[in-house]
Order: sequence, then C-alpha cells, then structure tokens
Amino acid sequence: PSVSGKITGKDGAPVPGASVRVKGANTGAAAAADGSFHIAAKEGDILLVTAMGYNTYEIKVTKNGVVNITLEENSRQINEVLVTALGIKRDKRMLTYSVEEVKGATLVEAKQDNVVNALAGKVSGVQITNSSGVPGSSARIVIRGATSLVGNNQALFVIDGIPVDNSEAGNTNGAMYSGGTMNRGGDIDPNIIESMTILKGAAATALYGSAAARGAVIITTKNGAGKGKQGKPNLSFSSSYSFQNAILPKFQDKFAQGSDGKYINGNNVKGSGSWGPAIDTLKVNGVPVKKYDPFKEFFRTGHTSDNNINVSGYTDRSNYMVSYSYLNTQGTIPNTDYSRHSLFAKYGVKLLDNLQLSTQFNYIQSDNHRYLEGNNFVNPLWTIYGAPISWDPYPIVNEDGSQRLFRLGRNNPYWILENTGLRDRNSRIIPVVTLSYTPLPWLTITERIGADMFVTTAEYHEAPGAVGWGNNGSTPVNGQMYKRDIKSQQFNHDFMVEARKEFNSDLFGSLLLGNNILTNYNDNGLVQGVDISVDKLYNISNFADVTSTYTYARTRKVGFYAQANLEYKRMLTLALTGRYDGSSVLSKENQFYPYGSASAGFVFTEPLKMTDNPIFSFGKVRVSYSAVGNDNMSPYSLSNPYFRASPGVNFPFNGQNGYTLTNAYSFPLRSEKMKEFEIGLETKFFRNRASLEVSYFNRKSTDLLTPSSPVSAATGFTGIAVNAGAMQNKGVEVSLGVTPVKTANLTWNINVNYTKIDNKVLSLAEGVNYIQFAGFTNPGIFAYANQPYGVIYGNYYLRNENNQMLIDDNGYPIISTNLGPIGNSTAKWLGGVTSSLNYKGLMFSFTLDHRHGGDVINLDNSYLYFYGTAKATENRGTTVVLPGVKQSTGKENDIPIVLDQRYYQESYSKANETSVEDGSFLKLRQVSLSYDLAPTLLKRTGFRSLVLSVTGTNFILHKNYTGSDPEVSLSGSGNGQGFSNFNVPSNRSVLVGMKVSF
Amino acid sequence: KKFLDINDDPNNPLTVKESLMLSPVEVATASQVMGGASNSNTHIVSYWMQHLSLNQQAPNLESYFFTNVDANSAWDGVLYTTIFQNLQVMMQQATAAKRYQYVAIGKTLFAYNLAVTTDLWGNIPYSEAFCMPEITKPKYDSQESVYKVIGALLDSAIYYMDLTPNKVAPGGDDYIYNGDMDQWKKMVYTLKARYALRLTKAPGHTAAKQADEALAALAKGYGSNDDNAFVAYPGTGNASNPWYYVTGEASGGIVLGQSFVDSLKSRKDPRLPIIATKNKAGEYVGRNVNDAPVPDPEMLSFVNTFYAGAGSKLYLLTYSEALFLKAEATFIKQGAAAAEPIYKAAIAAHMSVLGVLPGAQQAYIAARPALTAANALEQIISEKYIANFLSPEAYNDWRRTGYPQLKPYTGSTAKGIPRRWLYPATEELTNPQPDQKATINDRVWWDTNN
Repeated sequence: PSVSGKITGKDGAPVPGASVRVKGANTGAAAAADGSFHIAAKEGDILLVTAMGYNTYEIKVTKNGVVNITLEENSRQINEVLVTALGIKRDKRMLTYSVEEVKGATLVEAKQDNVVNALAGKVSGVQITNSSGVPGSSARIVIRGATSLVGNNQALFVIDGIPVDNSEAGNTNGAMYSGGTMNRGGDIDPNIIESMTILKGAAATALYGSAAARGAVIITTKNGAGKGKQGKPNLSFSSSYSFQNAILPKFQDKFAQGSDGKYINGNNVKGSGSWGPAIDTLKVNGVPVKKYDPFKEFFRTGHTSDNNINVSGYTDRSNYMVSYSYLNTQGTIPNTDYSRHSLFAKYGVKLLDNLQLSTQFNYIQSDNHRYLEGNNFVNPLWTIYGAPISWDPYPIVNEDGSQRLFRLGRNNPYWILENTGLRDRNSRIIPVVTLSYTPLPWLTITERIGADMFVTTAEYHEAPGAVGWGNNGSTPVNGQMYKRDIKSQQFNHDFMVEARKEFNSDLFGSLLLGNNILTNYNDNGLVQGVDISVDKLYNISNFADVTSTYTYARTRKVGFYAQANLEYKRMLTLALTGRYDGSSVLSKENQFYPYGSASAGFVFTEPLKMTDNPIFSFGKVRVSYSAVGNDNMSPYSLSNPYFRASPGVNFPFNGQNGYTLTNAYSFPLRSEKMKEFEIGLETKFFRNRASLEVSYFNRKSTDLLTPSSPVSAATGFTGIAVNAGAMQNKGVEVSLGVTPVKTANLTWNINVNYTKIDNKVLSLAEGVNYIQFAGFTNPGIFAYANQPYGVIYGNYYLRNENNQMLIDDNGYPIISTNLGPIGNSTAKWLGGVTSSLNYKGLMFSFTLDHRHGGDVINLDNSYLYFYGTAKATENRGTTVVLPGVKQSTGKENDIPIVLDQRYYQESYSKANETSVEDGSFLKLRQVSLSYDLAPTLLKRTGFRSLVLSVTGTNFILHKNYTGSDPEVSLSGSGNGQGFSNFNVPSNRSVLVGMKVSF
Repeated sequence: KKFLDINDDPNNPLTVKESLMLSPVEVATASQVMGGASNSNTHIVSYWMQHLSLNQQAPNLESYFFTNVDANSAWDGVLYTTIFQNLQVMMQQATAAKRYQYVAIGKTLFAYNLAVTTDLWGNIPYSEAFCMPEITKPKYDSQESVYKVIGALLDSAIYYMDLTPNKVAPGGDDYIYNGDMDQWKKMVYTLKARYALRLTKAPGHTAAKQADEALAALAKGYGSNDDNAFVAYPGTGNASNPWYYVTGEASGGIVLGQSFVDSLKSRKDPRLPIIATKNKAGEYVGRNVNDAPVPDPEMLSFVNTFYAGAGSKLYLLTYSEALFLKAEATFIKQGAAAAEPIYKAAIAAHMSVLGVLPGAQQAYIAARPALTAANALEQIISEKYIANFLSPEAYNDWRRTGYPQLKPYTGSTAKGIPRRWLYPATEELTNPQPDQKATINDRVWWDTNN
C-alpha cells in the first residue's frame, strides 16, 4: 500500500525536498521538484512532513491513499530557497558559500534596456559597468575582480540550467576606433525572469566547470505555477514609456573660433581651434557674431517604450507561461535606436506521476542603429564636442555637394548622421528541454538539453566624401560598407543523477553525479566593399572593390561531476564537489583537468540555543576552499598558421593572394588554475529584522593563458602563446539588510552592500614586466606586475624623487619621452544602497550606487583642450606659476606662464596624464514611486490588480569627472576598462509605467 | 578522447607556397618600409629631412618628440615579422625545393630591408634572430657585421641567380620585376653600390676603396629608367599608394617642408608643380617646423599626385639614384669634372621619370653651377635629395655627408635633427640589451663626423 500526494506552501507553490516519514517507522521519502511524493504507508499511519522553513505537519493516512498537504511557513526560521549551480534548489541556511539573489521584479523596476545594468548597485562582490549611452550599448559584469589577463573576465550566464552566450561581437575595426556593440546577455528580457542568483566564489560554481571560474549569473525564468487561481489563465499587461536626456559634459562657451585671440569664421578661413576672441563683444563689420549651442541642436530627447503581455496558468499536473515583450528605445542622437522583440514560452507537465517534462524556448530579435563611437573621424561627436560656438552648422553641404565644416579633415556631424551608420541585428533562440524522472522517492534522474543559437548581422556604410579612417587606417573616399554575419550555435547537455537520503531525523545526505557536454560552433563571415558604384545603395554587389574573410570554429567540452552534501541537525553542512573536464582548445596531453571544492557551514546559534533570542537569533560561519581550472582561450591557438596578408593593403593585391606567418608562436597550453579560499559569516538580528552577511575571499589564479605574451620581434614573432603569470584578488563583501519599520500597513527595507577587492597582477611571463591588452599603444590599458589590473599607460610630466613636477626654463612642465603607468582603472571599493518604503499600496524605492576610485582616461581631453572647447580652457589668459622645481637649477619654479593656446596645445594636451581622471561616482540609479491599487477599488473594473509607477534614473550623478559619466568604456564589455573617447553620453530618464492583471 | 580532437584550424594553412609569401613581402617593403604608412620609418624621417611637415603644434614626431613606442611598428610589425621572418621561411622552403629564383629574390629583399633596419638602429639582432623557440632573446650584432651580412646576402643572391632556373618560377607574384632575373641582378649590383658608398666614412673604410667598389658594381647595375624597381598600385580603395592615404584630408595636415619648397622655388625647378600642389592662394608654400601651425592648412602645399596619388608607383630603387651614386664615386676617384656629366644625367633621369619635358630639363641642368672640388659633394647630394623625395636614402645621405644643410627645429627639448632611432619599447621590454641606452642624438657606426 502506498500513499501519494503533493506538498505545497500556502501560496500554492510546491515545496520540493520536503521530507515525508511514517511516524515510528524507518521509511521516508522526499518531495519531487513539483512537490509530489510517494511513500509506502497504510491507512491509519501518521505521516510526519518536515521542510526547511515550515512548521512540521502531521496527517493521518486515509483510505484513498492520496494526501495533499499545505505547509505553513515557520516565521521563526529563515526560508530562503535559492537556485544554485545546475539549477539545484537549496536552502540558503545550509549553503557553504556566498550567494545572492535578485528578484525579477527588481530587475524590471530598474528600467534598463540591458538586464546587466539592472544589477548595478544591488549585489556585493559584483561590478557592473555600462559602456555608453547609445541605444544597444553593452554592459560588463565582473564578479570578485578580474582573474584572467587577456581572456574573458565576465561571469557565466545560465538560463534555467543552460549556459548562454554573453559575448560582445564588437566592431570589425576594433573597439578603439568604433566602440562596442550589445553584449548578448542584453538580449534577455527582464520580464521573464523570476530570479537571478549570483554565484560568486569558485566553491559555488565548481559544478559548472571551467566556464564559471569567473562567477555565474543563474537566471531562473518564470513558470506560471502558483500564480492566481489554479486552472484559470492569468493575463497581465505592463507598459512603460520614458524620456531620456543626455548628461552632457561642460564645454567652454565664451570664446569664438580662431587662433591666438584672432577670430576666423570657418567659412573662407578654416581652423580647428576655438582660440578666438570672447564672443560676447565680438563684432565683424559692426555686426555681433552669433553664438550657437552645438549640443542643443544635435542631441534630442530620447524615448523608450516597453510593453509586455504575459499569460500563464497551472493545474496540478501542468503549468505554462507565454510572454511577449517589445522594447523600443530612440536614442538621444538622431537615428540611433534599439528595439527588441522577446517571445518566451514555457510548458511543464507531469507525464507520469514520477516523470516531469519541462520545455521552453525564448526567441529574441533585436535591431540596433547607431554611429561609430571612439577615435574615428566618422564619429559625429568629434565635431560636435570640437565645434566652435561661433559656427553655424547649417547648411551641411557646400554648393558643390561636399561637406561644409569649420575646419579641414573632419566631417560635418550632421552629414555623418545622414551618410554613415551601423546597424546590428540579432535573432536568437534558446530552447531548453528538461526531463526529470523520480523512480524512487530518494532518486531523481534529470536529463537537460538546451541550445543557444543566434545570427548576428552587423552592417556599416559610409557614403563617398567621408573623411574616415576606414580600412587599414586609410581613407576610402569613394564610399564603403561592410557586412558581417556571425552564426553561433551552442549545445549543452547535462545528465544528472541525484540521490537524497534522510538517514535519520538529524542527518541528511545527498549525492549528485553528472555528465556535461558543451559544444560550440561559430561561423563568422565578413565582406567589405569600397568604392561604391551607385550612390546610397548599400549592397555589397554595388561596390567595385570587395574583399571577404570567413572563419569557422568549433569547440567541445566534456565534464564529469559529482557533489556530495551532508547536513547534520540543520546546523552543520559539509559539501564536496569535484569535476573532471576535457576541453578541445587545450593541448592534447593537457586536455583533461580535475578540480573541486570542499566547504562547510555551521549554524552556531543552533547549539547555543539562540534561535529564540530576540536580539541575535541566527549566526552561521562558512568556509570553503576550491581549486578550479579554466580553458579561457579561443580554439586553434596551438598551431602556427599563415594568415592572409594585409601589409598596408588588402590581399588579394593586383590579382595575387598572399599569406604571412602568424605573429604569435604557440607553445603547448594547459588550463588556467584558480584557487580560492572563502570564509563567511551570516547573521540575523532582531527577529530577522536585520541581517548581516560578510564574506572574505582570497583567490589566486595562476598559469594564466596568454595567447600573445610579448617576445622580442627579432625571433620573428611578436608574441608567444603561453601559460604565464598569476593574479590575485582578495576581498571583503558585506551585505546588510534592515527592516526598520514593519507594521501591517508600513514596511521599510534598506539593503546596503559594500565590496572591496584588492586586485594585483602578481607576475607575467618570465622577464616581462608589463603587457598591453587594450587601448592604443599610447595611451593604452596594460597589466603590470605587482599592480592592480588595468594600468593606464602613457606619457607624463617628469617629476623628481619628491614627486615635484620638473619645469623647463620657459616655465612649462616637461613631457616624458618614456611611457609608463599614469593611472589605474581598478576601483578601490564599491557600495550600493537600495531601499523601499511600502505604505499600503504605495511604494517608494531607490538604488544608490557608488564607485570609489578607479581612473578613467578621458581621451576627449587631449583633443578638446587642444581645440579650446574644454570648459577649463575658459581660464585662458590667466598667468600662473606652475608648482614644481626648475629642472636646470633644482630650485622652486618661479617662472610665470600664461595659460594660453600655446600652453594647452603644446603642453597640456600632449601629456596623456592630463587626460587621466578620477572615475569615482555616486549615482542615484533609480528612484521610483508606484501605487498598487487596492483590490477593493478594482472590484468592478475586471482588473485583478493595477499598478501605476513613476521612475527616474540617474537623477543624481556626483562625479569628479569632466566627461559625461565616468561609468563608461570604449571597449564595451571587454577587458580594456577605464578608457573613454567620444563615447555617447549617458542618459537621465523619467519613466511612467503601469501594470494590469486580469 | 577523439571527441575533443577538433582543434585543427580549418581556416588557415600551416604551409604555403613561395609565391604566396613573396607578394606580401614586396608590398610590405613598398608600402610599409619605403612608403608613408603612418609611423613608418620613411614617414618619420621625411619630416626630419624636411621633405614633409606636419601642420600641428610641436612637440610631435616632426619636432623630434620621438618615443620608443614610435619605433614599435616598424621593427615589430613590419621588418622583423612580415619581412624577415617570412623571407627566412620562404628561402628555406625554396632552397630545399631548389626554386633558386625565390632564394635569389629573397636574399635581395632581405639585404635591402636589413640595411634599412641597421641604418635606423645601428646594432641589431641578426645572427641569433629567427631561432624560435630556441632563442627568445637574440643578441645584437654590430652594424659592421650586419653590413658584412648585407654584402654576403647580395653576393649569394647573384650566385643563386646564376644557377639553373627552376620551372616553378616567380611571375605575377613578383610585383617588382615579374620574375625577370636579369633585372633583379641589376638591382643587386646597384644596391651593392649604394651600400658601398654608405660606408665612405665608416671606421676602417676609406672613401676611395668604397668608391672603387661602387663603381665596379654600378658597371653591372641599372642602365636606364626602365630598370627602376617599383611597386605599382591599382589605386582602388584598398590597394592604393600609402602616401595617398596618409597625406590625404584626414592626415591632420601633412604638407611640404618649407626649405624643400623654397629651394625648388629658388632653383626654378620644373619638378615643383609635379611634386607639390598650390595652396588656396595659388602659391607654393611649405611649412617650417619652427612656425606655429597655420590654422587653415589649405594655405600650404600638399604632396601632389605623382608621389601621393592613389595609383602612384612607389619606387624602391631608381636609375637616377644609381647615377648619383656613380657621380659621387667618380668625384671621389676622379674629381669634379669627371663627375659632372654623370651628375647631370642623374638629374635628367629623375626629371624624365617625373615627365619633365627635355627642354625644361636642359634649362634647369644648364643653370646648375659647375661642379668644383669644393662644392661637388654638396651639389650632388643636394640634387640627390630632391630626386630622393620621400625616400629614406635622403636621411642616410644627410647623416653621412651633412647635405643638404637643414635648419633644425629649435624648441627647448630638441637637440638637433635625430641621428638614429630609439630601440622599440617592445624590445626594451622583452630583450633588454646595453645598446638600448642610445638616444636619438647618438650616431650609428657608419655615421662619423661631418
């Protein structure tokens, strides 16, 4: 005789893992993922149901053998079920490592096009950096600091157990000359997210293998279960609309175009400088010179609309959800936009009592129009930021059709808007099928297959007449275009067997064994055409000179993994994980590599019987050690092939193809290794009204995969592919949660997080002190031994041993002819505060985010100080004695100089160090007020709920930075952080939204 | 295990035939070594020789603000990798397959570029270079020994040219001579003369002996402008002459140098309109490095299309240079009078290439002062300086002879026109050597007092 049934909470959601035992007998069972259970019992037996966070429940078995049990939450205990690696749900109380969860609703509330940005300021240990204010810009997420020199340092993204791509395709001419593109993680629609779990340390992610050595973002999608009434479809609709305005840097608005104080009008005499006379009193032939605002004319108010419709429902055997969202952002620069359709459908069904099937797919299509950012003349911001205030930008063209501009050799920004453009389209599908079989109450076998497939097409076009850098740093004056198609397919398979055993009421154990196969196929085809035949027809066949490249790449990974957990009296947990991975990208003799972790958690308040203590009710210490591997490199890095040549011209040249040998000589490569020690304290106070979690970690990565560590070019190669170098991150993460007020009508929550990471590059390849990994050679972004990652490198003012500036005999500082470190982009600490105040249906919330330190090289300065449009150049004409000592005499400088055109052009703008600025900021990321109409008000409307909201983003931006926003990166989500050059400014937005459910 | 064995690159070959390697090396030699690609050696020394001027605020490359990073791309990106490494592999492969014409051309191009390298840096790696993975920090060889290598490479090239040719022979992949070994041989002999005269003042060498060597070589060298070595550019988008890109609108104002333009003006040189454009006011105006930038660069003269057109040829070695070498060697051996007709022929040869009509050529040549023992070297080298417009040979001659006399930039940080290049920053990082202490005002071995 057996009894079956389902265990749910009061909200109808299943309670997986709930333990069912027959009182007085040894038989026991655990509830499956959907809450169902089977147990051998006869009529009259008493079932004892226990689950973490719930009160123990007793029920007598009746004749029909079916019992459905609704558990009541135990208010005293904490019940935070979190999704951990491989989608395994666990009670936070018993975890042995640091995990933080962000609810989907919070992500939606943040109102960010890119879901990565929605995490900003909310989680400790995590640094989010948005790259630019252009629609479709990427955002970077690094957990616990950079661990790899040149490989990917971003967290792994996992949706419902399937690793998904979060790469950034980038632009073909490189980030420095073109800026970034969307990171693929930005495809994910926040509306479908139930929760996001951030697994920070290696102990938490070891099961994911090498891909997650950098931390993981585990996204669990909504499934429709437990919402609304059983058996009835629930329909909800949400809509928001926002207005964005660019946060512009400040520019000088006092001096007209000219040189040495003499006015030139830019029409018959051209010139790049705004070093003319004061415009207020300037008259030409008795007529005052008109003043223009180059920005007001150019930037417009951006708009974003975001609409989502969602239908879901469930019965006791199945659940479904269908969601469709459409997001459309019109940027602050004309013709820039980003739109995204996202369709998500999920269906779960119990095929048999012990066989659960879940299928889902997510289809996303995005379309992005933008202009090149960065150090490229076809970036319109170049001649907006550099425009003299006395210049009328209209008309755009001269009578002969050529561009009209105040200077030579650059483009009219409005002409750029009409005659160039970058379009990036992406279609992506992410299907997942999970089959879960529970042949025995304590045994679950899961097979999960998923894929992530996308096609990205980037097209750039440029009309004849553009002054550009085009290909090979050249100027194809006859028009050009390129089209790049990337087809990426990733397939993931996991087969897992999990056994859970309650040995007795005190001892619980679980064992998981699994196999993972991950394959990736990537097709990348690029065609470039120059010399357009018929104007405005941007089809590759309309170009006289066409070249193309194509690459195909495959990688495969196989992993075997195991995890064992032992839990004693809900106060002590021991966990062991191990994994053995093989990766196709590594040398054959080193393809396979093992790793694992050991960790323990101890709830010390339990033996101290403090659970009922009104002040200090919960305390846990946890400690873990892990050693993981990482195959952070591209395929085909082990051979020394020839590449098609491009020695200043593109091959084929004159009908002849050509090849040159690779520049990087490859040695055999093995996996990168990372060892991490983590210790943490979790506490709850005042009847769970306050909580404090502190983690300390110390991770060291060694054998860093360096595909091109510099070597003397006299060897015939400029780099060698080696395992070289080590990097260390030590850090403290603090999360504090306080609920100062909690009454029936009023709840106030505050969450504070703090992160301090001490990052250091310990060593590089033997005999090498620094390597460049981003930026220009000068200025660039480098890694230096014994300094934090992300050194800004360039020339500087010479100083003596007391750090006093050396001054030459003319009173000017002396610019170094050597180059060296002039800043560091790694932040000193990060902090965030989120708070919500709930009064009846009215909710006020905000997120504050602070970054302390971390330099940014604002390369705009080196141009704008030269042109004389930087705000600071308004002090022109002032006489100063620069602080420092005279190089010739060693005496204190006493030579006055005039801060004039010569000073700014010959000295200030020539030293890279003057462009390095403090990247600290304090941002009010989001502040919102929403009203949830009481059900009584909605009674006759047919709505089940109606929420109205108003949100503002970036209302406060406190900074020392002279550009738009120090949270900026010309490298997009790449490693070269702290570099800015004519990036699109960040936005401040106001948004109104509503959400109704029926 | 087999499942993971998918790491063989399906996109790029592991070996290629010689013809596919030769073409890129020839184009790299033209575009990146002898051409004006940004930060190329020729580009930078053309400022120092005041052929060109950058209409921007000093300090910059023109005003000798030269950092070791500025030396990276020529050494790392072009000479040691694209050129030497690929020639090295090509020659090994060709020697094994007895494709001697490829060996011969390879040695010629190797010697040509090795001279460029040592002329910029003096002591350079050669004997221990290209031994990856055994040697990762190649020692530097003295310039004297490198010049011996250059001589040996050229002799060896001639040896291979005289062997029975292989049927697998260079053709369209040889942009310079289309596989014509007779032409290549003339080029080798002309180069031998060039490098012989380079060492007229080198320690342990005498001008007379070097002149003898040069004259002997020139007897088998170039005989007319038809022999000129150049790479032709189709002039379409991605296949244009590098000076076209680099002196174009986006250049930031790369214009002609004032002393150069003024000297052509004062000589009423008929080549001026071919070399230079007129400014907006219809005049030929060069820029002086000591002047403040002109706000409107259209008030200055740019490089005209003969040298900077999209489809312009890029010359690697000319008959005109051969005649100037011969004139100088003849002057050393036989005096000014003997040198004069050769010197005049050298000017005419250059003018013919530029398309100056014979009448105008003769008028110009007739107006030149007669060569005397006192003025001959200056006259020869100054005329050669015009014929070598945008060629690094102008810099080599200036260092060796002091002609033409140039007025350097006099800003506070400058100590005269640089006499060599700094070693690249990458080399200091990866292969520290005592030689790297050299400053731009130090001299290479063959550059003794003048």
